[in-house]
Amino acid sequence: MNLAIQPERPKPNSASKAKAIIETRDFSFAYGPTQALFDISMDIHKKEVTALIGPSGCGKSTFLRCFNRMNDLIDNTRILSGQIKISGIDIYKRDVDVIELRKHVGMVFQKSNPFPKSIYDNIAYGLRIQGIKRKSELDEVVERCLRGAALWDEVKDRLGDSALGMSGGQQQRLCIARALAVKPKIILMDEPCSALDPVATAKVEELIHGLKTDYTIVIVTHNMQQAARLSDRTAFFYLGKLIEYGPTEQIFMNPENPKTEAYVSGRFG
Amino acid sequence: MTQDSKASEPNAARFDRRKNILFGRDKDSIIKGFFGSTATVAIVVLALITLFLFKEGFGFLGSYHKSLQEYRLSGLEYVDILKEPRDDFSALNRYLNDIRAEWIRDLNARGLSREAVSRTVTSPKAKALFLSYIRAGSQLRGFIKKKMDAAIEVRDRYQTNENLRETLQGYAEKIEAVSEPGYRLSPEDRAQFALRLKESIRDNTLQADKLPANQEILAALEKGSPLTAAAQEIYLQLLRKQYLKTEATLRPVDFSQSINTITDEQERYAEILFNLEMDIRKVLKRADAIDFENKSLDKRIQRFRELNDQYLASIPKHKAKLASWDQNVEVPLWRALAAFLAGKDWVTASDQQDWYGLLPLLSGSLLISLIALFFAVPFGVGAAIYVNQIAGPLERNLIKPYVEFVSAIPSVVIGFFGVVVFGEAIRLLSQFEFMAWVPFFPLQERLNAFTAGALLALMAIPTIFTLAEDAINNIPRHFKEASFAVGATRLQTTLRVIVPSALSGIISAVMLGFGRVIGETMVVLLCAGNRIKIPDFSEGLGVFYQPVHTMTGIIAQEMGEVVRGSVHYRALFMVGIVLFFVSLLINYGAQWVVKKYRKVGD
Repeated sequence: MNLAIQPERPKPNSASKAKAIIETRDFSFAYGPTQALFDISMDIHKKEVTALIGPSGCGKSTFLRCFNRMNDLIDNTRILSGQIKISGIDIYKRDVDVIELRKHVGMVFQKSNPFPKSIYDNIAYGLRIQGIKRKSELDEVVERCLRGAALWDEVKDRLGDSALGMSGGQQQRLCIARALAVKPKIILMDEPCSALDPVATAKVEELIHGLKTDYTIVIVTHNMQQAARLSDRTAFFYLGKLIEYGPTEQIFMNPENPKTEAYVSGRFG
Repeated sequence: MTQDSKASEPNAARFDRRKNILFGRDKDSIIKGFFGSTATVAIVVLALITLFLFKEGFGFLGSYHKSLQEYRLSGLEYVDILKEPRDDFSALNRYLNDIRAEWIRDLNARGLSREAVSRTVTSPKAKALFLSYIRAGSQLRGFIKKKMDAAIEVRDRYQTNENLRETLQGYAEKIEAVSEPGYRLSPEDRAQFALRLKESIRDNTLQADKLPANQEILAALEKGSPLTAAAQEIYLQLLRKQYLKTEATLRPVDFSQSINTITDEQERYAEILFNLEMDIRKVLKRADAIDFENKSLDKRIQRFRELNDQYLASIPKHKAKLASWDQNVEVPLWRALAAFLAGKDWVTASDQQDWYGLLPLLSGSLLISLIALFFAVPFGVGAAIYVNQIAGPLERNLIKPYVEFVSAIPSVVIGFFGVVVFGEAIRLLSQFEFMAWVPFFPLQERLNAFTAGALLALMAIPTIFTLAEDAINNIPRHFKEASFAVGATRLQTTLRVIVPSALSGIISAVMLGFGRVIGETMVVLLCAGNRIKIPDFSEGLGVFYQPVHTMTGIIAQEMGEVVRGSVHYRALFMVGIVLFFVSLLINYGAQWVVKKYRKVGD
């Protein structure tokens, strides 16, 4: 039995370092006096789906929000040690352009959050703030993104309607489409299906599966089956620490750490 | 026994009966009753206030209508029409005086000695223009003064009569009451009786042989002992005498007769107007003889000529208006309302006719509110956005309480500050050379709409700030996150997502700020200058520096010294009703905006 706290590096990682798009080294993070993440080191691979799992409050969402510096919006947060590199750049470097970083690393939230604008405007928003005003260009991107999010056929006749009139599943896919509009390389998803019914969940999962060919996806989920179905790799977090990280199959079938085993088999969490 | 059964059945259901606390009511219903009754009391009090306001205000229409009717019957209206050419002529006179003053300035500027200037200005040629022009109107002025005095006299006599009639009515009622058998004198009666009796004794109007008896009655009255029926009879006699005496002073006014003293002398009036026209033309001809040696003065004299031509051309119209005036046409009731809502004058305690026109007050209130909102909206909304979206926690904790603290300053303190510090500072500032580029500087008036508006802005900022901040704060955080997540900057997020989403709340905050401003009294009373006149909008932006009066100010100022139940008193209540409706409308509008444009779900 291997009781080491430091997780064993999964094999694919060591095999091809060039494939890693996000590299995290000894990353520790705190909200005010409370430390939330402890010495996390892991690599996330290009054009794969990586799932972050763990019980509530284990720091997986916090970790996810570190990738696009969303935690900057929260007062009193600080990095205690370590670094995160995305495409080889330390994103917490002083002269990093956070705006560009967020275009590079898109995000979809737990609760669908379309703006109180029309469907069209929701997707065009990301382009408009970059100063793109040409109607033809906007039209083209809106259609591409809605098709990309498998929503085009459902809404093409009511692009001018308020996005708040859509169903919950549609709203979430709209949010994904909105994230696609600025052409990110990485999409972070923070429990995207937790508020959806099984049918809508299935649709979103199907979408995520399709997106994998073009994007790197990091998804936080509470739903173990979802992680197993969707992801190529899975990381298990517990109390702010990365317990185990490896190919999904291995984490679910043959975990090395007994805590992982206990969690994935449903004995706690 | 019961204890036994309880002990034996520890699991017996306990919900079989509610627990009574007081008079068979449980705690919940008592609390419910308490809050319900306080709410009811609040609503009832509000309803009573509204009712009172309307009761006092609506009598206005009747009494103002009556006043307007008297205005017509007494011929004052006719005189006011007569006055029009006189007033126009006076305005022309002022214009001419202006030209003269400018001429003197011009001569001085050219370096002429004082003697030379006065010689030029009082030369026969100049006199022929300036003095003769003033003299041309003297006949007209005299004629109108005579007619006006006649009309005022008629009106005064009529009103005196009205008052006397009221007094007589009171006497008649008293006499009737006293002559009822078995009437017992009230303390008030006894005082009256004693007073009249003393007067009679002093004036010796009673027979000498009755004097001792009267003295006796007087003594009884002063002691407070009961009176005989005979004594009561004497009281009745005295009352009757008083009635007759008062009646004798009544000099009834027959409007259809009295009007003749005002509308007669039509030929004389026509002659006066004719003479005036001749004189004006003569004077204008002489104006050519003066050489001003100044282009702008020549231009003004030319303009003066044109104005005179216009004036003379308007006289036939004036005559037609006089001819069509008819004393016997009834004043319709709606005219009273129209004269209030669209009236351009607010004149009280006048010796001619009181006017209760809302426009000067309404325009003053709106003008001040406009100025206040012009400052308060950018500052209030801007501060709200800054505090909520941009400021760090430290700044937020500093700014927010301070802005809100401003609303705790009593308005009279702000008003006092406005009078003593702000108004004076603005005026002094306006007199510096380097401020001359600001339009309409230097200022003449220390207290004006701008001073009041700027200070009211200070009072509206906390309201707008707090409500707008709440509205922005209510925008769910996930909108902000979503915007940031697609690479928006803070500014873009604020302007494109947060503010549009919070717009309904911000607009309603502004409207409630408007409500706060238009209802504010103390500051405007102290700082607005209180000149009851419609601001002169032809001055463009200069209108902001004019003294104005407001609806709230006039109520506060005049309510204390007005006779209860008079037209003036009721007019102030009408202003109050208008204010009430304006505030109601603003509040309703704010709610409507919030409801209509609420886009954000949860």
